[in-house]
Amino acid sequence: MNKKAIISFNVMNFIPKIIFLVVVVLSIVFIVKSFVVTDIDIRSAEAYVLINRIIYSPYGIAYYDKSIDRVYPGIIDLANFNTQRLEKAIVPVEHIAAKLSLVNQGKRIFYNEGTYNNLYSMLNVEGGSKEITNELYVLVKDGDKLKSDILHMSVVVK
Amino acid sequence: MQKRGIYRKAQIEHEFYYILAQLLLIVLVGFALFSFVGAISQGTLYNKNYISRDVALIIDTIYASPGDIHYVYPVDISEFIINFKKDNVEVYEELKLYEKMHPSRISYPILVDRNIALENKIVSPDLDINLKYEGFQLKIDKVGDKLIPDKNE
Repeated sequence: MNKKAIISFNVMNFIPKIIFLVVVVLSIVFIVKSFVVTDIDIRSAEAYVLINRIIYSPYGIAYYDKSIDRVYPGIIDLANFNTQRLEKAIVPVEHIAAKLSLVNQGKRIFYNEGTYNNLYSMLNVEGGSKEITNELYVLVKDGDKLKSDILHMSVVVK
Repeated sequence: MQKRGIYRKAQIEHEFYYILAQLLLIVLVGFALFSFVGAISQGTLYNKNYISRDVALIIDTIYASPGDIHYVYPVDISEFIINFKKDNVEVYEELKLYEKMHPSRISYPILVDRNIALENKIVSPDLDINLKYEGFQLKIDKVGDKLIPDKNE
């Protein structure tokens, strides 16, 4: 073979090596990147934190005895069960909202009603919001009377 | 005969440069791959994202407590600076990045409680003699109607 033929042969030989090298490099990059986590989904945790805050905080819907500075968990004060109390306690934000209903009493309140309706409409959209629901057996304090009820909670998070 | 000798020498030289070029390519690609993997392993984006969300959720949880609380965040966050703002928590890597409002800061919103005041504060580690950040833990105290974040000494 002459010199030109040898050079051509070597160049031709090099092309599959380059292709193989590219495939291997891209595979390594793809495998490394597939193990890199970029999204942390805390929507469920955030929803439960909000629920617990509404139910157990002295500024929420729970019965709170000021004289002894005690919150009674599991007892809902009907006088506190209103939207204004929730919005007075927690500043409304854009990414989370809640709806609470007392089934037997037939009462319903919202934290961030406008946002709740917007996010609720985005539930079935890809990349939209997520709804977390929960139910609790509670006692409702209406004046001096205690009645049993079911508290249904729905939280939507963007 | 002489012609053949020169031809053989040229061929060896050609082969040598050909192998040298391949070795150089291997070194370059190897260096690039190691740098890429090293950059991924040292990346702090996930850590900042995690810490900002975790601390924001902790603040939301502490807001709900009926009494006083003293909470120490168990994770060592010595590489980061946490800025407790009015309605969110921001996490930075270095003080100078914060000062220049670098986009590498990560923040997450807090559900602000109107009845409890969160102290706006920047909590950052100290530098030791070797100009490395000392390990520190974050503590959050709820005293009455105030929420006070600080370094746990």
